[in-house]
Amino acid sequence: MLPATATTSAAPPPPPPPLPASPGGEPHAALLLSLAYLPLRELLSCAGACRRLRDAVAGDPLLWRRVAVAAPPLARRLTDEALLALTGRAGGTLRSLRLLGCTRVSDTGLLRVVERNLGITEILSMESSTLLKDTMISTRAKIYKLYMPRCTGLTAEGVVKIVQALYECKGNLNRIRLHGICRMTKHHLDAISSAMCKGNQQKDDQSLFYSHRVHEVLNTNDERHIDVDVCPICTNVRLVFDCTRDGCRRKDSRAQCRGCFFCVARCETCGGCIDLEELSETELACSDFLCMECWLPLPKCSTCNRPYCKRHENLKASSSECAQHDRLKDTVINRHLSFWSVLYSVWLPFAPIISEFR
Amino acid sequence: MAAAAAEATTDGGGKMIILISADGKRFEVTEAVASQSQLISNMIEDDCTENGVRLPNVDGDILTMVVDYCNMHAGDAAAAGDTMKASSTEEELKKFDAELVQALENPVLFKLILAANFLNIKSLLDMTCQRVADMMSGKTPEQMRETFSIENDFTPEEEAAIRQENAWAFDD
Repeated sequence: MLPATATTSAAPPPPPPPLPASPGGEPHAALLLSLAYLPLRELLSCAGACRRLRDAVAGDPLLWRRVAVAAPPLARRLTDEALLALTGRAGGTLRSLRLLGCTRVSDTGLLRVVERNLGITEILSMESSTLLKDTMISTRAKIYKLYMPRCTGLTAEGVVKIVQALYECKGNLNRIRLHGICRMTKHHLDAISSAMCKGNQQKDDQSLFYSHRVHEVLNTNDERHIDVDVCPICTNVRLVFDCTRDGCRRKDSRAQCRGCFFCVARCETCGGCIDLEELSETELACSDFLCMECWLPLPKCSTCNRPYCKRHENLKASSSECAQHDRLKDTVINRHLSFWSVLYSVWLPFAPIISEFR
Repeated sequence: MAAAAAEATTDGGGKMIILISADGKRFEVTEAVASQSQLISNMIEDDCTENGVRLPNVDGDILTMVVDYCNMHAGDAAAAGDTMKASSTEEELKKFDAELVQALENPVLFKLILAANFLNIKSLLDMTCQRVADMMSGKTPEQMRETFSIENDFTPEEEAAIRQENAWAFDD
């Protein structure tokens, strides 16, 4: 199987593939290479085709290290026993489990899976989120990321319980994303951050700067342990932004312009704070805010002198006019047209009479 | 066809490397094109490509396709800096890739997969294997046997056992 020339013998070739099967019905070697690309349903179906494929599917734990049950027909049918059998194929090396809408999987089922795969590092469980609340407790799983996008069923108390339970079993949770969980208070946040700090002795003092990307569900560039903080102005637990301006980051003024989205107006482009006077002068044709520095160089509408921000540039109707003005112009023309057409339709029945008079 | 592909690459700059297929066809490609194959890239590092690289696992027809693919994708990395250029070529590349795999018969596709695996060209392996995965999508075991001409070598007991095991997924 190795290249036959002397020149090639020095290079380390990749593991050579098995010889192509004879045409007599054995699956082609290329099919075995393709197994890693199959979704769960096709993988199971494939195992039912012949012995060679069955053994290949069952005998390769690497195929089963990341299990995702996310499509409707399988997700609805997945039971505790089936989940246990599926994850058992990884031989205890399951790394990632993603369940979406698996309504028949219960707390105890998931608990058993986690207990048998303590190396698991990621569980995403959406729309079946009540599971998460009680399951992690009393397991010793090494979960280091806990993301709960769109798990509207989770409560602040539930998250606190999970984090505390993970700490008690010496978990090494180092990232948690809490943005979007309702009715989170300072007490919840204190409990979570103290449990997490005990685990990994790091205090994060990275600044968070405003940009529209921070609202994306899984913003993977974000390295901080906890995403939310207590807003110094309104004392709600939200994403709290620092100012990008050097002048504002000085110690004396930091407190004034550090705040959540609702408390401090921020420039959409540079993330710096904007004061109220500035805000009235830098009007935009879209609903975002810009600071004076970012507002000045933008091309303005020739009628109302308002620009679009970079994010909404595509809304601009023509090169010199904003969309609202285009729409206004349209309505003016339409009104004119409708006035004349009404007049015409009123006049039309009398037209023959008038012409007879002539 | 193979000769045409080989000639087309000779006018490019840089050091040339000769690839020799199992049936003796020779392809001259630039180092940048050839080093998309991890296997050949390693050989270039070890300075053992001077007398040509023999690829006894790869037929001339298949190597023609692989060289075409590598030629198309060689500009890929170079154009990455220039956003305008990259975006226009990206669409062309996608179209080229789609046409390449869509048109293939099963035996050729399988040979291409094995060649991509042997030469260690990850993007080509991903693309061709994904095509096989797409062909399997939604098929029952019987349909898979039919599509890929696989013989059912299960005993009735074995077949019943595997049906039982996966019953949760397929029973309505």
